Parts: sequence; C-alpha cells; structure tokens
Amino acid sequence: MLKTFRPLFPLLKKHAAVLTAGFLFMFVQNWALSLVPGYVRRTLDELGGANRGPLVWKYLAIGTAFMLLAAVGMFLMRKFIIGVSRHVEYGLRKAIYEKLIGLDSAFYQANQTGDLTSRATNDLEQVRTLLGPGLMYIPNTVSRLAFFAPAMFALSPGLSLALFAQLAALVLAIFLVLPRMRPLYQRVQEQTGAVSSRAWQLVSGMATLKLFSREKVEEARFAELNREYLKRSMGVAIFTGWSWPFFFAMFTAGDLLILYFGGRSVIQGRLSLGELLQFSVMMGVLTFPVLSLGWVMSMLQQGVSAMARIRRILDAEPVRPTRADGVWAPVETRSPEIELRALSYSYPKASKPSLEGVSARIRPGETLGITGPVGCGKSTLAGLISGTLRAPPGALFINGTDASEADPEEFFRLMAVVPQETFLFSKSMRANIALGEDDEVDEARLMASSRAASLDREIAGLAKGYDEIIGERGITLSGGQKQRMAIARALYKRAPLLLFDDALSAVDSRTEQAILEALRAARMEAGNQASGIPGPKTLVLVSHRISALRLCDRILVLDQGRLVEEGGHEALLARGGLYARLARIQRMEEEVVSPEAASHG
Amino acid sequence: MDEKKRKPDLGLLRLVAPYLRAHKPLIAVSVFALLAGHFFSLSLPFLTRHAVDVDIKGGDPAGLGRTAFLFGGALLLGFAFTAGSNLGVSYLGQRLLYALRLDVLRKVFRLPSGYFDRTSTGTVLTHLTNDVEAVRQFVSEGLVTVAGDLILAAFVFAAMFAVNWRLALATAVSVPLFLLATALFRKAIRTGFRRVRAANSEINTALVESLGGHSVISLFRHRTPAIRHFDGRNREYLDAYRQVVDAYAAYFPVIEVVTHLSLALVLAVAHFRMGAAVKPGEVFALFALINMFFRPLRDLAENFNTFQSALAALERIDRLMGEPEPIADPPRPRLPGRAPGGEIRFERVSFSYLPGKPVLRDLSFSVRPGEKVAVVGATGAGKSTLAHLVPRLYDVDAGSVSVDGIDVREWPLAGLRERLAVVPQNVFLFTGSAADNIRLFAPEVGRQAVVEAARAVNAHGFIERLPKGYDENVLEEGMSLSTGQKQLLAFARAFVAKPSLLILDEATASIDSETEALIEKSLDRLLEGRTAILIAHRLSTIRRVDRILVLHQGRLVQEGSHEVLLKQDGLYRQLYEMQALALA
Repeated sequence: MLKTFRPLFPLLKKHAAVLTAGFLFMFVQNWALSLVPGYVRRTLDELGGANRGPLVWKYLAIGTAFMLLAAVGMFLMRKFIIGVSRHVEYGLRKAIYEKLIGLDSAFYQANQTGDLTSRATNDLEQVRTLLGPGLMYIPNTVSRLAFFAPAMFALSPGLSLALFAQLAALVLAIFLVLPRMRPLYQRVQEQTGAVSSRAWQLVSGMATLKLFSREKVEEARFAELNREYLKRSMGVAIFTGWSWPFFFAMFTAGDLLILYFGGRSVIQGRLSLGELLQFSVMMGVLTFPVLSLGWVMSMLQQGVSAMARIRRILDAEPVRPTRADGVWAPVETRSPEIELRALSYSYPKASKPSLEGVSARIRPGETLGITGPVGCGKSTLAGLISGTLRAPPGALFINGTDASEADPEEFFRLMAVVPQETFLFSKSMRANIALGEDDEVDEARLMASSRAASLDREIAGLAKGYDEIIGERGITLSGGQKQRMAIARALYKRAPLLLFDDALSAVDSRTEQAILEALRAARMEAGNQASGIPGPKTLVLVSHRISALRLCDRILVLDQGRLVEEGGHEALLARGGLYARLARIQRMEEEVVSPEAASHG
Repeated sequence: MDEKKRKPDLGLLRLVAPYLRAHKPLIAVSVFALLAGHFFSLSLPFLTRHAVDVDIKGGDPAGLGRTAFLFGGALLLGFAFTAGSNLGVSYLGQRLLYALRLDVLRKVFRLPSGYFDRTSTGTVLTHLTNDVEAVRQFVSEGLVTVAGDLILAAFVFAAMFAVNWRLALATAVSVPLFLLATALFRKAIRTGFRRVRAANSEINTALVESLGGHSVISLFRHRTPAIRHFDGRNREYLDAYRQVVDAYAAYFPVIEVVTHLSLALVLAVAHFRMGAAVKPGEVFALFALINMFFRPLRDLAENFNTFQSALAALERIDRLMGEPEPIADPPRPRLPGRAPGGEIRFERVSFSYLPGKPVLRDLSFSVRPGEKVAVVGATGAGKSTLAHLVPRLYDVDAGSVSVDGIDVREWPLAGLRERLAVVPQNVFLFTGSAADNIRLFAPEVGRQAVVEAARAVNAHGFIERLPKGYDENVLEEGMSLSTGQKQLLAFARAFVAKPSLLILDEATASIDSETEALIEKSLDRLLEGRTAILIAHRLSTIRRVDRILVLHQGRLVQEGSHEVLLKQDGLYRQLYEMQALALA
C-alpha cells in the first residue's frame, strides 16, 4: 500500500524539517494534555476543604498553564502538518499537470478528458483528504493514548483496560461501518452525475423540446431520474442517520463504565472522587482523536485507490524515440520536405486501418490539396503530417528524418496547423492568436495575421479589441469567427508548412477565397524570412471543397484509406474519376447564398 | 452587513414554506424525536450527579447499579430518537429537493427563449443542480440542524442552571470569549474560502482547457507558458488554503482553552463561593454539560457558511421563479378547425433579440397552404428568425404572425407547435439511441413509426450501419455523426411529428457530397403535401420552391421565382453572381 504513495515521498521529504517540527509539537501537546486532568483531580480532591484556597489556586493555575502549552502545541502541530499536506497537494497537482501536458495525442485517445480531469481534481482531493488527517491524526491518536495510558493504568488498571477495550471497539466499529457506506455514496454520486447531465441536455436542447412539445415527456423522464436519486440518497441518509449517533453513544458508554465500575471502586475506597473525575476528563480528551482515527482508517482504501488512479497518469510512458540509443533524432531546420512511404495507420481500437499504403511526397513551396469522401482518411493523414498522430517507423520522413524518431519540438517548429475543431482558451483574443513559446506578443505580426485571416475589422469593432476575453466570462464567437481565429493563430506562428485540416468549413465562400488569396500573396512575397527558417512556404489544404482545392498545385484523392488519384485540378477533372465525380455533385449543390456567421440569421 | 443579509430571509422562507407544509406530520414526528433525543442526552449529566452525590457518597452499590442501568437506558433511547430524527429530517430534505427540482425544471421550460440568450447554460444548470441541493441543505442542515443545535444549547444552558446556578454563571463568563473567537474564525475562513473557491475554479478552467487543447498546446509549443500559468493558479490555491488551515489551526486550540477555562471557573467558584457546601456530583454534571454546551455552538459556527451559501442559492432560485413568462398559453385560446390547413401570414412584423438592434422590420408576406417558399439573403438578414417566430419561441415586437388565420399568440402553445415542425440549422442530439432521438422519447411513437420515418427521409441506411443500429447511443464516445447525418435524423424527427407546416433552416456547415445527395432526395419526401418555408443556402433547394423571398437587413426586398428574380437587377442577382464568381 505504501508503495502506491511513493510519488509523495520526495514531496514529503522536501518538507521534512517542518513535518518533524509538527510531530515535535504534537508530542508537546499530548504530553501537556496528559497532565491537565491530574490537576483537575487534585483540585477536586481539595475542594471545599478549609484553608485550601492557595492550593486550589495553585492547581488551577498549573492546569491552565499546561492547557495553554497544549494549545500552542496543537496550533503549531496543525499549522505545520496540515500545511505540509497542502504543499504536497500542490506538488502532486503540479506533477500531474506537467505530466499530462507533456503526453501526446495517443494518450489522449486512450483516455477520456473527463476521466483525466476527475483524476486531477476528485482523486487528488481524496488523496489530500487522506494525507493531511492521515499524517496528523494517526500519530496524534497513538501518541495521545501513549501519554494517557500510564496515568490511567496507575489509577485503575481494571477500569483502564475496560476503557481501552471500549475505545478499540469504537475504532473497529467506525472502521467497519464507514466503508460500507462508500458504495452507497458512490451510487448517489453516479445518480448526481446522471441528473446533471440530463439537466444539461434539457437546457441545451430546450428549443428542440419546445418545438416538439416534449415538455411533459421530459418532465416525467426527469422525475424518474430524481426518484432514483431520492432512493439512493435515502440509502446513504439511513446509514449516516444512525451511524454517527451510534458512535457517539458508544463513546458515551465509556462514561457509563467509569460511573459504574469507577463508582464501585470509590465506594470500596480504592479510588477517590477526584480520580473518577480525572478518568472522565481524560476520556473526554480522547474522544475526538479516537473518532478521527476510525475515520482516517475508513478512508484508507478510498485514498489508496484514488492514488492508484493518479499513478496511472504519473506512470504513463511518454512516447520515446524508437531508435536504439533512445534519443530523439534532430530534424533539419528548413522548409519541410515530407515523404510518405507506404504509410498505413490504424487507431488503437479500430477494426480496420484508416490509411493503407499511402506513398506520396510534399515538396517545399507547393500547395497540396488532400481530399476524398467522408471517412476516406484525409484527416488521419493530416494528423500524421502535422505530428499530432505519431506515424509508424519507416513510413513518414520529414527532411530525411523518420518522423517516429524525430524530436517533436523540432518537428512542431516547422508546422503551423489549423485543426478541424478550433480550440480557444478563455483568455484574450490577443493571447489566443499569439499562442506560442512565450507570452510576449509581436503586435505587428498579430495585426498581419488577423488581417490575413479576415479578422482584423471585426476585432477592431469590439469594445476592448484584442483584449476582449473569449468564453463564458467574455464574448462568444460564431463558428466562422472561431475558425478564423485558428487561422490567425496558425499564421502568427509563421512556420514554413501551413496545414489546413478542413479548416475553412465554417467560413463563407467569399471569405474563403479572400483568405486563400491572402495566403498565396503572403507566400509569394515574404517567403520565410520572418521565421528565420530557410526555404519556401508550403501549404497543405485538407478539404472537400472544390473551390479551395482548385487553387492547389497538386491534389491527393483518398478513398477508404488508399490514395486513388493524384494530380492537378484540371487533370483530375479530365480523368473522370472520383475527384471529377465529387466535383460534379458539388457544383450542382454549391451554396447560393453566403452562410450564416451569426447565431441569429 | 448582517442587517442587509437578514432582510431577504423572511421573504425567502415563503419559497420553501409550501414544500414544508406538505409534510406537516413528518415535521412533527421529526421535531418530537429531536426534542426527545435531546431530553435523554440531557438526562445523562443528572444521572451522573445522582450517582455521585447519592449512590457513591451514600456508599450504595445497589443504587449505583440502578442509576447505571437508567444511564444505559437513557443512552440507548437518546441514540434511537436522534437517529430517528436524523432520518426524518433527511427524508424531508430529499422530498423537498425532489419537488423543488421538478418545479424549477417546469419553470425553466416555461421561460422564454430570450432568457436563455442572456443566461449561460451553466447558470441555468446550476439552478437545477447545486442551487436546489443548497436549498435542501438549507432546510435539513440549516433550518432543522441549526434550530436543533440552538435548542440544544438553550436546553443545556438551562440544565446547567438547574444543576447549580452559581456554577452555571461561572460557565457563562466564558461564553463571550467563545463568541469572540468564533466570530474572528468565521471572518478568517470566509475570506479564506472565498479565495480558495476563486483559485479552485481557475485551476479547473486551466486544467480542462489544457486537457481539451493539449494538441494545440503541443503544436504551438505553448507548454512552458501553460505550465507557468497553471503554477500561478496552483500556488494561489495553496496560499489561500494555508490561510484557512491557519484559521482552523488557531480556532480549535482556542476552543479547547475556552472549554478548559469554564471547567476551571466551575472548580474555582465551587471552592471559593460554596466551600464545604459544594457537592461533587454537581461538578461532575457541570463538566459533562459544558462539553455538551460548546459542541452545538461549534457546529453552528461551522455550519454557518453552508447556511449562508444556501441563502444565496435560495435567492437565486427565488429570482428564477419570479422571471416573467411572456410566452404562455393564452387565457382563452382560439382553436382552429380540424382541417390540416397550413397557412402562414406575417403582417408588418418587427422584431429584435436585443433592444435597439432590429432584426426584422415591418415584414409582411404570406404562404398559402401547400406552397413552398424559400428565404434567401446575406448573413444577418433575419432569415433564421422566421423559424423562431412562427412556433413562438419568441414573440414579435410589433405586427403579427398567424397560422391558419389565428394569431400565434392566441393558439394553445402545444397545439401550434404540433401543427408545425422546425428543422434547425444545428441539430441538437440527446443522449439516447438513434430511435429515441427520432421519436424524442415520446412513448406513444413505436419502433415501426420510427423506422418508417427514417426510411422516408433516407436516414435508415446510415442508422442500420451503426454498430447497434437504431439502438446505438448517438452521443457515445467516438461515435460522432456528421452534420449531414444529423440533418437526416432531424428530418426523421420532423417526419414522425406529421406536421402540416414545415420550416427548414438549412445547415450551412459543409456536408459531404454523398450525404448531400441523400438529403436532396429525402427533402422531396418531407415536403410532400406540406406548406414549407425553406431558409435556403443551396441552389438545388431554391430550384424546388414555388417562390423566393429575398430578405435584406430584416426587410423583404424581392419576391418571385428564380428565373424572374435573376432577370431583375436586384440583390438576388448580386448574391447569385457573387457565388457564381467564386465557382468560375
């Protein structure tokens, strides 16, 4: 079990001094606390006696002084130990994040984002909940018992034995009862998830439901989910409803033991009333630590499994170069020349390959189109070329280096990609476009990129311009605007190869032509001087729009993962194959009116 | 500040009152159990006093045995009643949650679309999840537990006086100390937790975005700044939490010291004020009572934050429930004849989503039963708005929209919406099977009708090819339908509804050519025998209609057939040529 927590050790070690101090103060606290009841006893034994005033004062003063010392110890113990647990949480979260952000897309294909988020939040929280109290309460309870036991046994071994047996039974009861609640609790959590995801659907799909007058139907379905939720919640409530009063009753049973057995000893003259009170006070001081010990123990299993889930992230193997020396191969810094040698690719759980034996070459400076019907593998090819998908060894070469061995950092330096789905961060427009290796923004480059992406005028029209924040707390962008943001972002990067993965789907045809025109012009005049990478600019357009493809020097046509045609627009049309067929259908269907850009037409 | 907070409280209770009224017997039983539980817990210190002062001092082991037996009995009864009241209160809270959540959903259903334009999905979602849960807490933890704690504290206080008023007074001295420490603690954790929550939400945003955008981050070599950004948030969270940790670290020992001072004062008063008259049993009882006294008070202090956030949630729900419902069934709906009809008329309609930004201006046109009309125009011309006004998702600002000669505002809502079907631009899919997405969960629509509809609109083919066919969950991970396929599903949805009127807002996102061809064919089947308004983006669609309306900035600028409009020197030809230019 401790093995699971190994990643925490270095983090704990970093705070070893503070932790040690915390434990030291824990001992101080428990030592001082163990002395207080003795002075209470002495006071009670003197109580009401003639001329005992100074003695009573003295005992009360000493007892209070020890209590103050214990309080200081308790404060520093908590501050230090719980503080360290927060530092460890910080360090663990940092480690998880840095690990996650360093992993490549293969990992993200195998793991759902929702799961990963839950590990980095809920599981981390569970580990922390175990760690802080675990570090503090277990030693605290043990040391308190150790300090208290001698005094109690000295007073009455029999009664002490009975009381310790009763405490052990209490810890055992908590340890046995609470874990039984967990699956019940988990069932509630699941149902909470079901209720919220249904609620999300109802709110998001509200217009559809209204249009089809499905309010009553959905209400009934929602009620059903909620009835189940009520049932499961009551399952937990029944448990908690009796268990905590039960633990308290078990604890108070200690008072009964003291009263009855202790009382008999007093009657028999073997114990004073003061000693009886001392027992009772000591038991009172033991309540909380003993309850918390049971509680921590009951959480152990949960914390271990949470940590085990976190370990699956921390221990995930990043992709390593396949070369024998285990070192990334350098990629020559020049406009990329890409060669595909019988490239095949299958997604991890797919039954058939997405690409099969594709051989082709992308020459520096050319404009290459990639097209084909839905599911032909063109997006897979785009992913492999851009490096978001890792090509198998010996199948894809960039500037002569096998992509499977190429240093990803150097690889990505040569690519600017506009992905199919635009991802924007809830940051300013500026930060979203100028996304790069550092936070500094080259304003001239920013302007030029947004102009080329036909975005400059719209941004100028915003109240805060480039400082406008995107997302829930800021402005909402339309699909077309988002896509042009992604284009501006890619242009800002100024990499020698620019890849559009079906990235003009949401902009209207006029804007599409304007953007493609701007790209061609920029390529003609500027070349790559700005990026400092030698060689001409290459443009790869993955699209099914003939209007975009016709501008390409060469077009690769894919069908069911295979390269079926290759050539210029005119040549392919003349050939009368798949490309010509796609072009014919599309020409017939081509849009007549510019599409919506705003949400309300 | 407290004054300001208190003011809405009484008003807010009115929101939960009806739910509580429905469970009067349960409340009565729970309160009785709560009081009984307190009674038996409180009897323990008195039994202790009796045991010490009478049995032990009197040297009566048999008496001690009897008292101990009573002690054990009271302990068990106290446990049983407390557990019972816990159960009752939990059940009450859950019933309230259930009823309130459904009421909130009903309210959300009745809200106009405009409400959702200015409110984020997340906010509405919060009402349905966290806010109603907070109200449950308000009732079961707030009202009942807090009230229960206060009652217990009052009972204990009274019990202390019943045992010995002098010793009780000695205890009372430390109460102000306790209150002061608690007030300071509450202030510290309130600001601390506020920081924690803010930092936590920033951490979550950064995390979710980094995971969702991981490929963008690596493609744009943005890792280092992203790590730096995250670390900043993470550190803020750490610092904020350490403030809270320090507050707790200080509060617990202070309470221990205060409790100890009470005990010491009891002893001091016992010795110096009462001298030989002091009864040790009273000291025993006071010691037990003091521990009982501070526990509920401490719980109160800890629960106070939940209590406050519950009040805030209650206020939010109250505000939601008070939202106007402009789009509701008319008090005296006019019922159309049973004839299928299918006439739409816009009369001098003006409309805006946001005040001052008119979308439609003085728009008039009509569509005869069975007629098919296309609406074209540039982005922002107001085309999609037509699909919102006819089914009354929004109401016009001026003028009127009528269906079959009756103003839509005079139709019964459900009746109006049953008569027409809208196929929106962006099709919303629900979690569930393909079949459920076609029938939209209506239990009365059988599998056969679903398959029939799917066949009619050419959706049958691709649905059959899904791994589980009609039972495939269309939102399953990795199972993403293309825009074209979603459109086909929406066609089937509309087909099942058997409307006499159809409004179709064509998808603008690119659809691959083969699906496009399927859509073409199914459109004919869908339009057959129906009145239709087609918000068109494709030439092929325009060719199949009887008439074309050209909208420009919310006005009708041209009207006629494709051929006629092309001959005119107007916006239509411009739009057409611009497109043709791009095609050349």
